[in-house]
Order: sequence, then C-alpha cells, then structure tokens
Amino acid sequence: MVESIVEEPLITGDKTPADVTRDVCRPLEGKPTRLWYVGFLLALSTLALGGAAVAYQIKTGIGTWGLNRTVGWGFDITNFVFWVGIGHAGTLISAVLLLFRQKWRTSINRSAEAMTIFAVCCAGIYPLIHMGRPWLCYWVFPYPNTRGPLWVNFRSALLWDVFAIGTYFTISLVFWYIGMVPDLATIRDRATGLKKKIFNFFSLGWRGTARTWSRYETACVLLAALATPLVVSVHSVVSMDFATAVIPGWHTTVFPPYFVIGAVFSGFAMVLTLMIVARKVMRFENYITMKHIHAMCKVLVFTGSIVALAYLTEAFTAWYSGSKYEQFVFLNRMFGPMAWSYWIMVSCNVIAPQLLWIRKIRHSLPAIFVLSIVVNIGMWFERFVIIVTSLHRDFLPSSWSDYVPTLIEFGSLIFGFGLFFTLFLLFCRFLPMIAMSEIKTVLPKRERKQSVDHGEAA
Amino acid sequence: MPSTDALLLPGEGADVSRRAFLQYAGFGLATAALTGCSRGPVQSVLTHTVAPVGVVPGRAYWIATTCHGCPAACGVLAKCRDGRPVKLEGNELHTLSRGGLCATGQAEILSLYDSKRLGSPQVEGASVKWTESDSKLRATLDKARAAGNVRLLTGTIHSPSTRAWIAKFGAQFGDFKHVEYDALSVSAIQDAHAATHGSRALPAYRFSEAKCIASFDADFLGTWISPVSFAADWAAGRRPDEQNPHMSRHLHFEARMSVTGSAADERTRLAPWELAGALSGLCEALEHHASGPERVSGSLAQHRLQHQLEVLALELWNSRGHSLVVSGSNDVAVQVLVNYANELLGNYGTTLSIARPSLQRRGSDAELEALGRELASGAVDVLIISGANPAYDLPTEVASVVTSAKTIVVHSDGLDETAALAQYRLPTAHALESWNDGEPEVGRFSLTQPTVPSLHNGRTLREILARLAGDERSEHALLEDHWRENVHGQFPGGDDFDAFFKRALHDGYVELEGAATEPVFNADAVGAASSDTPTSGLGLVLYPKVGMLAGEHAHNPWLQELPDPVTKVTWDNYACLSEARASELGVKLGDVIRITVEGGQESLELPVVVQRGQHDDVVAVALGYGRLGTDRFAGVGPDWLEGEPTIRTGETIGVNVAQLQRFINGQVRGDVGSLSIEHVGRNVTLAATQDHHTLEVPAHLAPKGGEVRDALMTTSLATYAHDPEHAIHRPHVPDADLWPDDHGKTHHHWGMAVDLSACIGCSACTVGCQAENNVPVVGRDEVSRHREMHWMRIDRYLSGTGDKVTAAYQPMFCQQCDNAPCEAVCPVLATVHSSEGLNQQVYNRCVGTRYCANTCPYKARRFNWFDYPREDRLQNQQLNPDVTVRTRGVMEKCTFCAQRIQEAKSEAARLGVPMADGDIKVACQQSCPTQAIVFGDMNDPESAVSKLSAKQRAYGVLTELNVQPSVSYLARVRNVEELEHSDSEEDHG
Repeated sequence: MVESIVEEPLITGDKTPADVTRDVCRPLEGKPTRLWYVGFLLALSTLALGGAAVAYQIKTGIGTWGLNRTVGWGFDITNFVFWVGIGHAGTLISAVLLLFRQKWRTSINRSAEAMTIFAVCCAGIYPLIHMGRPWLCYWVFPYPNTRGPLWVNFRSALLWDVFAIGTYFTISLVFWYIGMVPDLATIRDRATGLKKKIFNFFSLGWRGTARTWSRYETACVLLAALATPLVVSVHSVVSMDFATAVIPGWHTTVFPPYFVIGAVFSGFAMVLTLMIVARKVMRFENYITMKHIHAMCKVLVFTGSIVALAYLTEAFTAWYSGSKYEQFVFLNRMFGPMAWSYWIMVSCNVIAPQLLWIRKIRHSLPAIFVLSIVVNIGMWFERFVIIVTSLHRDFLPSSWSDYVPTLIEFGSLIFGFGLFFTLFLLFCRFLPMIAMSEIKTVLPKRERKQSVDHGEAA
Repeated sequence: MPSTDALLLPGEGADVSRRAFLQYAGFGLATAALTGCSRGPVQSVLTHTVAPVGVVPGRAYWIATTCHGCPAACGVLAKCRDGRPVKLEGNELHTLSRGGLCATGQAEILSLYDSKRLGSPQVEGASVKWTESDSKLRATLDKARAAGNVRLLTGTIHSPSTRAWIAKFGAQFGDFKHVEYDALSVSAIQDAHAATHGSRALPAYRFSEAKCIASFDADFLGTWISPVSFAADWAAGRRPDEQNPHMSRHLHFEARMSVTGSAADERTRLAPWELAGALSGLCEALEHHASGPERVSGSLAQHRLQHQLEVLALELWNSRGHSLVVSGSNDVAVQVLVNYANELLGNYGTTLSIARPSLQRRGSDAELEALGRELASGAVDVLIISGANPAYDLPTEVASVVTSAKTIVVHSDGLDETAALAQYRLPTAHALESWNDGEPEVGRFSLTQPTVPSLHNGRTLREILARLAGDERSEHALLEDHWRENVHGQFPGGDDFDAFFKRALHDGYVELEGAATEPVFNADAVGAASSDTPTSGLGLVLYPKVGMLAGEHAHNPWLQELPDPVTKVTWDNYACLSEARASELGVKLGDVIRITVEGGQESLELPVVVQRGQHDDVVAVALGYGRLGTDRFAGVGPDWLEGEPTIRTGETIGVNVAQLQRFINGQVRGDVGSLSIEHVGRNVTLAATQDHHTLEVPAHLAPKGGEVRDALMTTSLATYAHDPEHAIHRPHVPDADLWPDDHGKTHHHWGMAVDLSACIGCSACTVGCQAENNVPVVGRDEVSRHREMHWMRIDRYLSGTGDKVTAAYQPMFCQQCDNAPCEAVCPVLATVHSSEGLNQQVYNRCVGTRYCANTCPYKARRFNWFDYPREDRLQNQQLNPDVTVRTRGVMEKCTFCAQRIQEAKSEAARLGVPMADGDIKVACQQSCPTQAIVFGDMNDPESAVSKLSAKQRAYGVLTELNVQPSVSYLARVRNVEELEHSDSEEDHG
C-alpha cells in the first residue's frame, strides 16, 4: 500500500492487526458498559412507548392521527421518507466509496451499512402502518392470487416504492452480511460455547484461504456495483410518490436529484451523529479519527450546498412556471400559516451546514455533533414541508385545511427512533462495529510483528 | 333417497345408510345454523304464505305519499325495499314541489327509525296500553264536558279529515277552542290580508310568474313557508342561455346573510327595524308611478336608501303585473304595506293569489296570545297539544304558562320539552307509517300513505279523536270515508269515488282546476308604518337554519351534521356578527359572547361566527337548538384517546333562543328588543366544514395574476347577453395527450352538468346523497377535524365587501375525471376507470393509503378514519341495501350513484329497450328543488347533459390540469347591468 508522507494516517495509535482485533472485539466479549445499558434502556423504552402508540393506532384507526380530508399524509410519510433518506449514506459509503477506492471509508462503512439496514427497517414500518387496513398490506405485492388474479397497479409510484425499498433492503442486507463474514469468522475463532456455534453458522465456514479471500473480494465488488445504482434509484423512486401527483409543490421534475442529494446529506449527518458517540463510548478514537469526521463534514457542506441549490431551483421553477397554483404553494410555504416549518427547514439545512466552513467549528466535536442533529431535524422538516404545506392548501380554497398532529402521531414518530437505536445498540453489542478485515488493510505500514491474526492475510 | 319413514323415524334396527346419516346431519346442521342466524321470534311470526302483490324481495317499490317535515306538504315517493322505506324522493307529478325535496324532507326517513320516539302512551309517567289511556282520557274529558273547558293547541293542520274530526270533537264541549300556531310564524301576513282583503289568508305565491322580485327579509328559497316549490318557481325564471339571454331580477333586503340573499342579483343590508320605513318608502314611490291617491307619504325623501328604493320601485313598476314583493316580517303594519305594494303593482291574481290561498301556515299569533292569557289566569281545564312544542319554541309569556292547565295532554313524537310537562303523553305515528291527507293550498289535496307498519305504536290525531269518540274504524277507513263524504264532492263530473280515490293514492295528490276570483283590496287599511330603532343600537335577528327549522328536527343526526349553507358550521348554533361589529368587540370565530336583551332577565352565552354581509347592528342566532334530549348524540362519533364527545351527557346541542321572542301587537317577533353583548373570554371550537371563505387567496400570499381562483365563475347578464362566448374566462386546456386514450367510452359516457345560476345552496342534495349512499354521521369532533364524510358538499364562496357582499354556491363532488389522477396512484387498483367514464371505487380492494385523496385536485374523496356506526341501531333499517356500508380504513367518494345506473341498465335490458335520457336520476339531481343538477349520457348528443355542457357558459373546474372532469358547471349569471371585465388572456395551467 502506498503511504503518503503528507497525509495523516487513517488509523492512529500505532495499532497492530492484533490490536485491531482486540479493540473491535472488546465490546462483544466483555460485559456491556453502564452507558450502553442506559442507552439501550432508553431506546427500548422509546420503542415500547412508540410501539404502544402504533398498536393503539392500528387497533383504533388512522383517525388517531391528526390527518383530515385535505391532508392525507403527515408524520407517517414524512417519517418514511426521512428514514429512507437516512439509509442512503450507508450505501454511498460502503458501495460508491468502495468503487472509488476511498480507503477512509473502512472505519465507518460497517456501522453505516448497519445504519442503512436499520433505517430501511424503520422506513418500511411507516408505509405499512399508514394504511387504513394494514392487515391487507400484502396486497401491494404482485403475486399470483385467487382473486382473478387481481394484479397491482404498475403505474403507481407507491408500488414502485415497494419494489425500490424491497430491493434496497435485500441488497443492503446481503452486502452487509457478506462483508461481515471474515469478521464473524474472527469472532468465531475467539469465542467458545454457544456463541461459537452461532458465529460458526453465520461465518459460512470461512477459512481464510487465498481462494476464499479472492472470491470474497469479487463478491464485494460485484455487490457494490449492484448497490451503487440504488443510491440514486431508491430515493428517486421515493420522490416520484410526489412528483407524479398533480398537487402543486409535489408535481416537480427536480425532485429525483433533489431527494437523492437530500438523502445523502441526511444520511451523512446521521453517520456523524452515531460515530461521534460511538468512537467515544466504544473507545474507537484511533479508528474513527478526526480525519474521518472532517471528511464527513466536507460531504455535509457539499451536499448541504446542493440541497440549498435545489431549494432555489424549486422556487425559481415555481416562479418561472407562471402557474398561479405553483407560485401560491411557495408563497404559502414561506409566509403562510405553516411558514415556521419552512424556515426551520431553511435554517437547519441551508444555513447550519455552512458553519462547517469555519475551521474552529469543524474541529469541535460537540459543535459537529449538534450540527449533525440540526441537519437531521432540518431534513425531517424538509419532508414535512413538502408533504403538508403542499397538501393543506391546494386548488380549491373551500377545502383548505390545517394539520395538527396528535399525541399518537408523535408516538409513531418516536417509534422509529426507538426501533432504530434499539437495533443499533444491539448491533454494537453483538456484531463487530468496525470492519476488522478491512481496517487491517489500511493500517500504517510498520515493522511487522509475527502475526497469527486471521484477517492479515489480505 | 330413503323412504320418508326411514328418514323421519330411524327406528330400532333401521338401517341408517351413510347417505341417510349425512342427510340427517345436514338437516340438523342447517336447522341449527338457521335458528342461530335469525332473530328469535318475539311474538308470533307469520310468513308470507301469500306474498303481498307486487313486492319482490330485493326489488324496490315506490309509494306516493306526502312529506310531513314541515306543513308545506311536498309530494314524495317513498322507495321501499322488503317492506320498509329506505329513501324519500320528490314526486315529480306533484304540482307544488315538482320533484324537489329539501334537506329536511330527505332526512325524514331517518326520523322514522328513531328509536327514541315514544313507544306507547304514558299516563302520569307510566306506560300504558292505548285502551287504558283512552278510557282515562275519556274520563278526564267527561269531567271537562260537564263543567269546564278544553283547549286544543296544534301546529298548522291542513288535513281536511283531521280538521273535520277536530270540529266533531270540539262540538261535544261547551267551551272548546282550537288554536293553531306556527313556530316560524307568518301570522302577520294572514292578519294583514284580513285587513286589506277581508279574509285572513296566506297568499299562494307564484315566483315563476314574477319577472322582478323584491324580498324584504323573506328567506323564501331557504326556510320561508314552502321553500321547495318557491325555489322551483324562482329558478324557472333564472336560466338564461345564448338564444334567450333573459332572466328574472331578484332584489333582496335583509339583515343577516341567507341563502335567498346570496342568490339575489342585488342584496342590500337592512335591519329589521328599517323594514317598515323601507316599505313605506317603496309604496310611496310606487304611488307616484301609479299616480293614485297618496296613502303613504313623507318617508321616502329622507330615507337612507331613497335612491335604491326609487330604482326598485321603477323596476317593479316596469314589470307590474309580473312582479312580486314579499316580506318575512311578522309585523302586520309591514305586511299591509307589502299587500299595498302588490296591489299597486297589480300582482294579485298573477304572482300571488288569495282566491285559492295557501294553507301551509295557518297559525294565528293573536289567538295564541289569548290562549296564553287564558292559561296564565288558570282558566284552562284540559289542554291538548298536538304536533307542537310550545314549552320550547314560544316566547316565555306562553311557554311558561303551559303548566297552568289542569290537565295537559301531549301528542308528540318523543319526550320533548312540552311532553315532559304532560300528564298524558300520546305517541304520534310518523307520516311514513300512517294514513293522512292534506290541503296545502285550497283545492290541492295530497294523500299520505303508510309505507311500513307502525314501528312505535303511535297514532295520528285523527285516530286519537276517533277512538275517543268510540269510533273503531281503521285509519284507512276514517280517511276514505271522509274523502267519500267531503272531498269527492268538490270534484264534480269526474270518476266515481273508488277510481277517484285510487288515482289520488297513486299520484299522491289531486287538485281542483279552474280559476277563482281575487277578493277586493280595501285601501283604507293602508297607512305608513314605522318601528323603533333599538336603544342600544344593536338588535336581534332569530332565524331558522336550513334543515333544522324551528327545532322539530333536532333529533335528526343528518340535519345536525348538515353544514349551514352560509356559515358552513355544523352541530351548533351561534351568534353571527358582522365583520365590523366583531372587530369592534375584538372577537373572532368561536369566542363566546354573552347576549343580554334589555329588560330581560336572562342572558345567553353563545360562540361567535363572523359573517360577512351581515348588518352591523344585528346579532343573528339560529332557532331550533338547545332541544331537550339532544345529549342522545353523546355516542355519535368515535371514542378514542383525544376524541371529544359530540355532546356531554346532560348538555344540549346549541342553545335555545326561542324565549327571546316577544309578542308585539299580537304577533310573535324574533326581531325585537335591544341587545347588549360582551366578550366572555372563553373560546370554543365550532365544527365548520369550510375555513377559507372566498375565492381570493390571502392577499399576502397572492402571486401576481393568481389573486383569485376561478373554480366558481360568475358573470353578469349584461356581459353574457353582449358576448356569451367570452362571458367567462376559460383556462387553457392542453389539447394533445402524451398517452393514447385507453378508456374508449364507446357505449355510455356518464356526465353531469350543474347550473350555478340555479343552485341556491339549500343542501338538499347533500342529505339526499347521504340517504342514498349510506354516508355516515361522524360527529362534531370529527367535523371540526375536517373529516366530514359528505360525498356531495356545497362549496360556498363569499365575495364583495360592505353592502355588496354576496355568496355563491358550488356543489362539489367527485368529477369522474377521464384522466383521473387518483386512478394512476392507487397501488392496488382499488380505484379504476369504467368503460362508461366512471371513476369507480372498489371498497373491498382498498387498503387505505390515502394517496388518491391527496392527489385529488377537488378533494372529493372521503376516508373512513374510524368505524362510524350509527349510534341508533334501529336507524340501520334505513341503510340502502344497494350500497355497501364501508368499514374503517377505506376510501370512499361519489360514484354518480353507480347503483342507480346499474339498476336502470338492468331494467332496460330486461325490457329489451334502449336506455333513454332521463332514465337515470342520481340522488342529488332528484332532490334538487331547482333542477340545477342534470345527469346523463354525454355520448348522446341529444341528452340534456350534452346540451347543457355545450352552452357557452359551461366550463369545467380545473380543466387546465387536463384531468378531464365529466362535470360541467354553468357559470352563475347575476342579472345586473354592469359589464364584468373578462380576462381574455389565457391562463396556462
């Protein structure tokens, strides 16, 4: 491996491959820290509380949400788009950056991929529970049936969603799992008893031979190539839920790129939030270094600026269209009764990330942490603004309405976060958070000690 | 098959084969299943060994009868299925209502199935059998006959047979009086005619004959006397088209904003106390034109509306003989002036007639006041009250003294305010379960037939009186005998009685032909009138709400949830204030104010509705609310964590304001008294279905050129006559499609045309649709969350400011788009296009994503947020068996009454004839009193809908989206001189 003399090493702390294995496996082998317990309990309580709200809603009806005849979607689809968006950074980091041979991705790709999968899980929940009759959700799948057969509507963007999300989840899961196999084998080798049996099963009989490694790397690159278009396609399809409808504020051709870049933006913000906490709690400062943080900050500034451009383009198009309905929607967003949500969105997504140009802020972990959360708040509001402010005042003034979410709806919002963090904390506890095998390939060159470690063969 | 013996008696040694065993088992299972499924017989159950002639299970049959929702007596046909009525429709043969039926009439079907109606007579609170109540009442009456008096207090009764029985009943007492009153009194009109024409009569109005109509606070299209027939008449003169760009002119003076006022060409705000002055001024101006003797003089010159009144007089004079002046005032002096104006204009005999007067209101407030005095003095022994609720709907002078009668007998539907005070409570038979007749106009007779056996053991007044007299003839016989003896004779030279009566039953009505002569006008009765301005500068206007009327229908959930046409508020009454008055007081929608009438002890607290177009100096409050027992609706609407009950137990829906009425000069007046109002500081949520009231978008959000939405187009008659093609602004509609038309509508293409000039916003269609399509009632909380379920809504848009405020109405429902946005987005194909242009909703396929509702540009789709079962299970009997009842989680919407289309197609196929235009009448169209809605096949160039859609004032709403709606709206034309500027620039969507 070529080593730059000017660039800082990717991994600090003078780690040996053995150190890597020990460091990464430590949280899996010892007892969890008190902090983990606190976090897990918090996440689980949130999940339980949110779960109760969702269960109540399914039992009682969609009416337990604040929706009405005019605003048919609110928190539900906002949460859905938000979580799908969160997932995007994971795929971008693991697949696109792999193809572009961005070595710095190795420290964060595993967690980012895990984040993708959990985010897609969360995202998948909302279209399900937002149905009036969720027990019939399987009707959205095109399968041979005894009802005619009654087929699904291939013209519906909602159906495309089903395919996009389904594909995305499958590919991401496979990619994540295949990438994890060498690490699972490492854990297997270190474990005893039942744990060994379980990891033995999941490591697919990994032996670490040269041929295995070769096949493994080919598979990874192939999967990366498969996953790469998904980065663009999934959120493009999601954006078509809106773009293909006639509602002003939805019916916009800029939506696919706008949504994709927003997704990458929010996804990176979420990775930052998680990594800043994880490196501290898991003591991974040497693996997830300030260099990684800075790289992600740069992505944030970049994507944030494109998001700003998208907002401007959207507004310009509305003005240029000459359509009074389009123009009204934007004026109404900015100065109407729900203008607060629009300005939250602009402050969080356009103004806040620009602060990262300032070196001092870029070097302050607390500041970055806060900004990453601010960006995600902003991105949640972006979807809220698109959905609610377009719907609540559309064509006929007689049907204009407001939208006030209910407590149950807030319950459904926190349900997603509860589920996400519960899964993520379980992941931290039971699976290697950092791709050991990949990290070992980017360790700074050094006098090699005799090593018995597995992954070193690569 | 084993022998019968073996089958029935598998005795010892009998060889029960496997097959026989299965037969036994099958029989046993089926029997068990059948007994399990059916309700157990309560009493003896008789099957139709011989089925009733003509009744086929599952097939509708129609019974001609008469609506008893109010005394207007519109003709209706009751649609019955399997022995029970499920829907009322206007009888098109009926010469008064001509097929229309108002919201109240449509809702009557639900009242029939009201489980809270009295089930049996009650004496001193204990339920008894009719025989027992009859004998006890007979004993009471015997005592009164010997020494004492009997008073009968009723609403208007125009049933000739009932009146005959009342006369017979009264004749047995030494001291008997029958007093009639109307909760919505027009007593002054009759008293004024007594003065000017020597006969106390209510004229029969013929708005169709009037080329110029001046209405002084008469809401004749909404609630006044006989709105259905008046609206039909009125609309007949208001359908201009390219070939004949003429229409009647309608000028309206009123204090509050009414449906009639908003339908008028010119509307002027006039406080009730200004009516006398304005009419004096009008008469004075008319006298100038007539150049006859001056009986009214001196008031016009300094009147604030001098110019307008002079112009009005000129317009009326130019149409003399074909003009009409009406007033809703209950002041005899005002009504005398109205008569004088009509006399000066020569309208008697053409646009109004008292030769054959109307009997739709017969109440006399003077007699009522006299009865009140008599009651107060404690001189009444037996007070029988039938079809009236004086303890609720009358001024305190009478309402509070009802209990002074020694014995009170109340004949009523349910346990109302008056029945609660009574010793004898006798249940009324609903009009749909009884025989009856009526004479809404002298010489016009209508008949009422039962459509279902009595559900609640009620009796008509006629039957009660007959039984008390020991007459045990059946109701039918009582009626038929009366007609044989009294009515048939008025139709000389016709059929024999049996044929005559049969024809009357079939048609629902008979009428005398030939003209009668108008009585002579007595000009000596005329004098100038005036009234006092309230000392506080603020006066009261009490008005009936469309549908709810005086409160007799307060127990009907459809009418409670029917949005007021003007304010769009449901489930409540409220104090309407003008914008200026509200801002002066610093109150907004829902703020509670306290209203105190000067000199009165009581004060009322009511939430505010700020109503544009209302007179600044009046507070307008709807009558008919605050009814006892309306807390029955506590169970209406879903019960969930954040859900508010529609009403709390022990409270009432709205507040009763009837006690604020006063007797002035012998008339009950709701427009008197000087008020003071104050802000209480509380705010309540009013459940309104519309929040934004204009077509203009808020000024600070208006893009240039997009300040006004053009969903509802209006033009002036002058513009339309000048250039019909460009009278309305048409958006650019894309003329090329990217996709081929994959919906070839080769056979039929159903469409609709709605004439906005004829639509008066009366909301009859809304309730008609609700009845036809099993649309649920969702309750106050759900409506306030904007989750009303009405498939057919009336969008109301206000326009203008100050004195020029007017409202226009637009029925809005699924537009059955040919390029329907909803169809493309449903993931499970639950909404699909039919080969006949219908946008079909497949309820059992719907998973409830609500994507279709979001993307509907008309917001015509309705979602079942919860299960909305009927709170009164008995009312499930009304459900239309042809229409699916939707469960929660399912989207629904207008289907153009797909079930009616299907029925008509099946019928045509059965008869082997092609379908003709007009074979299908959808529910809203059927109910519309003004025939503003026309449905038909757009593939047939000769159909009414095709012809209307081709008119130059026809347009589609939001056609610039290229959704291709199947509904054409005909722009509203106001008969005004101004040319309205039409923007010729095309708007690209």
